[in-house]
Amino acid sequence: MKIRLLTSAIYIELLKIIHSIVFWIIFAGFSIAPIIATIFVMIVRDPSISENSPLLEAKANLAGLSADWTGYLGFLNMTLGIGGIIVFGFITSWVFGREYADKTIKDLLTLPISRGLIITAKFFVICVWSLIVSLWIFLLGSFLGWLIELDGWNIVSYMIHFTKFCYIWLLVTIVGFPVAWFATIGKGYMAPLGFVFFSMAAGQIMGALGFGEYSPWAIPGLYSGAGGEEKSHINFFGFFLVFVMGFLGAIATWLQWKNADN
Amino acid sequence: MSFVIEIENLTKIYGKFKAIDAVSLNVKKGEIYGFLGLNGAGKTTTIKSMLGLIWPTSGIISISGKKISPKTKGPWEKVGCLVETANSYPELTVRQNLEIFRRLRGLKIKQDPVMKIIDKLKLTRYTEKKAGQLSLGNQQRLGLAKAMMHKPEILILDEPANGLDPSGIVEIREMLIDLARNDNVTIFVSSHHLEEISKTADKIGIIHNGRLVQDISSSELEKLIKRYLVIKVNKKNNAIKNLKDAGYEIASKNDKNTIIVYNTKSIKIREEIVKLLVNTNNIPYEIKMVEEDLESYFLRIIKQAEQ
Repeated sequence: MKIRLLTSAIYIELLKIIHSIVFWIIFAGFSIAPIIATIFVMIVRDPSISENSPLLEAKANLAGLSADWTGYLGFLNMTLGIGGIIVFGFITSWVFGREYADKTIKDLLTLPISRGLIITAKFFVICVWSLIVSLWIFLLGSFLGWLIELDGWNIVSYMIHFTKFCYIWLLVTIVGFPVAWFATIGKGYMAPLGFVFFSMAAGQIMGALGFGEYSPWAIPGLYSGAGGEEKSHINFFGFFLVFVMGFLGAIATWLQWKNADN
Repeated sequence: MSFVIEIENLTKIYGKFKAIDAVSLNVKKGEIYGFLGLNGAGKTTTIKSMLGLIWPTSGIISISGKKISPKTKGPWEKVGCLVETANSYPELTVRQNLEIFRRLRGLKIKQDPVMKIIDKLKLTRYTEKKAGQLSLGNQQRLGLAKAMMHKPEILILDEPANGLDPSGIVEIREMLIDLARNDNVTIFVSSHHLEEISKTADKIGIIHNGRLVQDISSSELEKLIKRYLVIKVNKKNNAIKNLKDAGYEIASKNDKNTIIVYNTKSIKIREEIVKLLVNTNNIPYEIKMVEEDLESYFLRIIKQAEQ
């Protein structure tokens, strides 16, 4: 019975997502990442194409990517590690915050289905949605890389980057779970979006100060290689922090739904 | 006597503000309970507490014998509700919105509850229309459809007539009466539409500033509604003196001729008043029996509560 209700809850969450324009906006918005990566790698490979735009050239050089598959896929990983905090944060804000913004929460909470089950379904679809977006980014990136005929293709290296990409997706998704709690206590979008930007800034500042490995929001970025090769080796404590943060976020959301005024 | 809805000393405090103050009421099976109050009186807070959307500071709420608390599973399979305004997922169609609730309520698709309730609430024309594009009245119908699709034993409705046109109001009223009388559905309905409630409810509760100032049956209400005589005479002052001397409770209108005499329910009293006026040479040229309307009664009760 519980499984049937959970599948129903998941189906319904997916139905809401697919029919929402936000779903497509997220896709379109995050698609910019591999396009920018492709433009940068083209500039690095042939600086003459950005003759009229020195700023673009400077940015491409600043990204520090090499004009081959390894550099390109590494850049895609970094994009997910850093940009994913914002994009997946938006997704979580929307999935939870919309129930308050649209005032549909009262209908959900008076159904003969446990609140924990609805929350589980919501977190599940957040994972699915962010996975689909991530896979799309990787596929689009791969296609664009093939289109511009990048050098140094190697299936083993490609699979290693893809595996890392999947781990980064997992870290970024889980570290974003507390956003749901902010949507619940803030009863809408503003509080969770505020928290998304705070976590992004906190990750950057902690990383810059050299404490990135102790900041859950900096860890996906560091692991993706954004802080350099030597900092990408995250120890167990770092991963543990991310999972603790995600777990606390999910539990706090459940407790809020169960025990607080909604 | 077993009650389907039991509220005992319900109190809800937000910071220093007491939104609900020791409200107690009971509703029997198949009864329609009209919950009246001005905006901000505490109607929605009471309803939200009944539905477990907010938790009381103190007091006990039981619905269908089950205590409503974060620790217990509520009787939600038996309850249909509409709280505040009817809200749906705007990007989904009417059918999809109802389909969501069919699935989450575990209703079998075989019996086609979605199309049945769409027909019942006259939403057939809008089945494939997005909820966000519906008029306010049709959004309200959709909200009622969600509340009633699973044929609940208890309906808790907060201002169900909101946004409905006059024919819609009549239709919903008749539907509620039919559900209570024929299907024995217990209905708790809040409103500030006094006339609506008076036409529907078996029992009426009036809430003001968070306190239940009256909890009476419709027949009791009938007795409490004031009736008075409006008398027009030529020599007003003289008539007032004579009536006062005879012990009648009277009031004088600002014009030259009108006197209001209270507590004149029985025909005998009315006859005595007329006799008295005739005998004292104050023959009334107009005499009219007036019944206090529910709105005046409501305002009188609220005024009394404030004093």
